Amino acid sequence: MPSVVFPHSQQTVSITIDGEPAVVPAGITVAAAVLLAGASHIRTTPVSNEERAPCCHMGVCFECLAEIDGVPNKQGCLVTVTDGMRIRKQEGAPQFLGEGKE
Amino acid sequence: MQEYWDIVIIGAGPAGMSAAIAASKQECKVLVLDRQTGIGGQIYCGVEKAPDAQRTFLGKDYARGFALAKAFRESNAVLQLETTVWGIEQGAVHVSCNGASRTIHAGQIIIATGAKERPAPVEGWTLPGVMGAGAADIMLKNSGMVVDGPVVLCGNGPLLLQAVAHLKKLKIPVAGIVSTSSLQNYRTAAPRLPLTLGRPLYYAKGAAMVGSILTASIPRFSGAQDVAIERNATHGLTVSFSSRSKRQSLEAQTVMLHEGVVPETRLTRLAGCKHDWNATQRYLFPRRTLWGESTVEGIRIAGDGGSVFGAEAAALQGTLAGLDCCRALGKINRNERDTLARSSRMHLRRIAASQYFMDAFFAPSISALSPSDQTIVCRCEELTAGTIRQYIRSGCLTPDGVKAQSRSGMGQCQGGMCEHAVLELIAQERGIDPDLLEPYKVQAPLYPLSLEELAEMNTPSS
Repeated sequence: MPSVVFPHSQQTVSITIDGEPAVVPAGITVAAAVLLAGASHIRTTPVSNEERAPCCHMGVCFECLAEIDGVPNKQGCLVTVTDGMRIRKQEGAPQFLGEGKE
Repeated sequence: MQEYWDIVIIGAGPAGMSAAIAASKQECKVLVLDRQTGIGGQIYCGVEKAPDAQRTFLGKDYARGFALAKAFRESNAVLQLETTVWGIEQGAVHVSCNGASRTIHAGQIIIATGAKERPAPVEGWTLPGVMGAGAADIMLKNSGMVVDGPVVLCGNGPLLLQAVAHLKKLKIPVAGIVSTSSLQNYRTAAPRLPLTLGRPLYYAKGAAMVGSILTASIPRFSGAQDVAIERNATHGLTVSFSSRSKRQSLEAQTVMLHEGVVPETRLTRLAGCKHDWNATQRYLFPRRTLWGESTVEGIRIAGDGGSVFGAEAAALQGTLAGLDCCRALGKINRNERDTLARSSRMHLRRIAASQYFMDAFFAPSISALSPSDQTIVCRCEELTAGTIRQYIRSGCLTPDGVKAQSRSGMGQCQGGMCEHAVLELIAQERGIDPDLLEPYKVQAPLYPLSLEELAEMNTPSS
């Protein structure tokens, strides 16, 4: 798993990833936070359930789609973690219109 | 009442920031939009929040971004981050911000959306642990994080060399460098070498970086073909490839792929700008004048979204495009524009000339753009090169034909990850040049939007 070499903040934030609490440095992206927490993947594909992880980190590949605070289909690399944020890996096709897992 | 700005600039990287600085000095009302959470674009990603240690590590080039960001913040330009432009036409852009969409009208538009890593599919490139070398660079800049070693780097391009240099400095083990570059590149680049004399410091730095990699005890493999990555029994990755007609393999925790960077043209294509083909670097780029004018009136292009010349050139092009917008808006006349632009033009000319060397030296080899039949090409719809070749052989002779029959390019990334590969596959199967093909037709919205957001667009809030 990746490691922090240049902490962007002395502060940390508490988040949950699939309900599991994690403490990560403030200021990092959701995509980075999920990797830092040791997750092997951030989503599985709707077509064949293949595991995928962030690939481009700049908003192009859409491999880091996750459910963030109840909103599905968010690009994790374009969102900064905040205290209390609830992140869920997006397994298969996303669910919409209040059908989210939370 | 409609929202109107003299100039709307899309992208807050070096080109966008420089354009905003130049134009707001001439009393233009400037709005800058960017999808990211911070300014700097990809090259200066995280520049405003980076701790001193990171700035020192990344050196002088990154520090230039810090100065630019400061000047941009001190200008009168208005910045709106986390805003995605999903539609564009003459005089207006359609944007999504915070789950709400709206239309912004503009006297002049500058597209400064930059470049992206060329997605070059290889077997296993969808596996977790495989990422772009540029992506790793962004993770370092934006989140201060480095990947897990041992790392295998595979591909071709200056960013790959920089990634090796960074990993070495951070003492992350590198298991090998697998170069897909062709020896032919030395021959085509050599006659262009004198062009680098216009930028001695830049090329001296590059040469020093290459030297330090050559003297490091990292296994290097040249002329690699048929790269394949798979998960191994120890939860790591195995990279196998042919080099000097021998099959080899390396073990890694992280694999970085890179086949150069290409202009992000989806917005310029949506705007209806004419595009040309760079036959050396094999990418599509929008036609533009020195002042950034595209073939569509009122739409200019600045930076690597036009052609890849790097951050320094992007900033200069931004200044020129910004000044020319002021001229078009009647804020300054032609002579004033020319006087203000003089030093930028001179500097830009030297960089642009030396890029002919870079393009040839780091040209992608055709073998790196010919994925095996088992390789996933369209990551969203999970379509392999073999499947796409079958569609081509059965009569889908254009990217849109393949798309309509196979669903390639119809997933969430909207073709951003497969359009280059599909174009190359069709050209190879048909034995023609890719510039004879129209890429996927681009349609708004460029990024997924909820129907709810679209329906509520521009309705007055109560």
